[in-house]
Amino acid sequence: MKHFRLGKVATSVFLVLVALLFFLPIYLTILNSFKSMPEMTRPFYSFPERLALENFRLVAEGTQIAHAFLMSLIVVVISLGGILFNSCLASYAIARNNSLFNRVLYIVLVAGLMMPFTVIMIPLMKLLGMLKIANKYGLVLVYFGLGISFPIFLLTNFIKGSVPLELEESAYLDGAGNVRIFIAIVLPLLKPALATVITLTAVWLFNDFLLPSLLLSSKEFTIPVSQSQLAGMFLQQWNQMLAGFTIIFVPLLAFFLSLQRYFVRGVTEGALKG
Amino acid sequence: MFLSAKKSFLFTLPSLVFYGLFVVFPVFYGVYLSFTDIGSFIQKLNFIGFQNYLTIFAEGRFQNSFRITIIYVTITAVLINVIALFIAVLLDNTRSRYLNSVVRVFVYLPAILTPILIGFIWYYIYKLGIPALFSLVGLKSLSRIRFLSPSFALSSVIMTTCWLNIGVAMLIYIAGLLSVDPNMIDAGSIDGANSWQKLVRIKLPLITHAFIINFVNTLVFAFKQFDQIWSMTKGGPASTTETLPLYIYLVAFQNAQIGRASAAAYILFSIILVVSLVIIVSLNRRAVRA
Repeated sequence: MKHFRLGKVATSVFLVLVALLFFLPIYLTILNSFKSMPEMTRPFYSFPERLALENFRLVAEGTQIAHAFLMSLIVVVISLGGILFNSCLASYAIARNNSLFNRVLYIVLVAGLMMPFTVIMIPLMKLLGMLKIANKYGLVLVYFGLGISFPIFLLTNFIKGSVPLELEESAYLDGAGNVRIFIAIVLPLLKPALATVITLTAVWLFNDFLLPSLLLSSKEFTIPVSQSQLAGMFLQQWNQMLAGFTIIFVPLLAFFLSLQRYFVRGVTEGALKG
Repeated sequence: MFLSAKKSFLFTLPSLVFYGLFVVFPVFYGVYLSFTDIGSFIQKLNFIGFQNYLTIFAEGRFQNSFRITIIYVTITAVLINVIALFIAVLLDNTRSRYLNSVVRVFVYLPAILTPILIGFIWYYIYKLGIPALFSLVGLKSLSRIRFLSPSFALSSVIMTTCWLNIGVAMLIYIAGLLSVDPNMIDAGSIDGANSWQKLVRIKLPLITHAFIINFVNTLVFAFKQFDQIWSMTKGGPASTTETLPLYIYLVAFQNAQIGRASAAAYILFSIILVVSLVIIVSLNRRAVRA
């Protein structure tokens, strides 16, 4: 019995260590973002003698982080709107009409989850150049297509599994049209799945780097693009670079911690139903 | 079916337009470009058949990139799955809810942070943090290792990728383990199975589904990875971390050889599709239908 208990304690201690190990890089980012220039030569793990808040001021002033944040938010919100519009409609059709066309469409859409962006990067850039939308408008329009694979995958399974067909059929018999059934009956029932889709898609859009870096001009840079460019310039002043990262990670962490369960649900449900 | 074919088509139309134009079309257009001699973006192009493929297959840089991709993808997929399953099993045996949720949050956390910025952070952790940690605990010889030098850069990149993606795999394993019918475990206990036997003989065969998903997921994740490697090493030093996505980017934008980059892109996509299909089919056959 004693042996058994000891094992439990050892497991718990080990798990706590694992958690700390995973958090260490983020902790170090925050810790070192508070160090002043002379302190950077001191060991990486030492506490700063005083909090160098000027790092944050310098970064905020010198790099227009607020502007980049605003750009990111605009891109995320507009793209998310289009993605949700496209994917809700398509998922409903795929779930409720099992034609060969829809089955093939579903496979082609889900295969998009396996495609590295670098595969279409070159032809896409050429296409956007020909259409004369190799800019912020093109960026959002591309997301309307590029971002729908995961939402459609999740929503289609959710509609098939958890939205009762009987409700729709009785509304249909009462004379409601398909669009009305979709808006009045199906959409409200989709809320839990939509919360998951929105959180995961929003984080993906916010973090995406390669496409915006190719399409945006320097005044329109989103957070990942502007910060990575600065990181290249700040090679010697990494305390300021890390201050910039801290400014970005804090809202991300808050977003994650408050919506944790949707993330967990998105990862596991999306996976286990496939 | 009360959603007629015509209405169904109208519902899918917006997705068809955007996905067709910005995803499906570029895939085929890319195949076409890979058969041309296009160099920079503005140049006129001529059809040259398989020439690009033959050129890159004979090219040392592509062979190197191909080899590095396979090493990187295989090692990350194995490491991520082993560690994630290990943590998931430990958590599954822990009754403390508090500990459970704390560990889950902390291990999953890296997955939501911006990968391009994560790479920069790890650059400093390898350059300053880990050597400082080794000298802190008195391992002076290890603290002198240069983790981003040609001999260690790939391992360093692999460790960071694991850190990024273990949480996702762990969540899927936890969900799988939770879905195992407790009656099956009880039946095992009655037959006198110890906890190790219950894990290996009952639980793990019942979560084959989670294995399939995690293997495909982690492989695809590694095959796709660009941001993190790009910000950590830019493919260097001496091309030791230049996986295929970085090769494609560099060949297209630095060397202006778009035809060749397109050929490499198409090879990358084909590998991913084939590998995923092989895993899904072969593991599905062994799946226990409970």
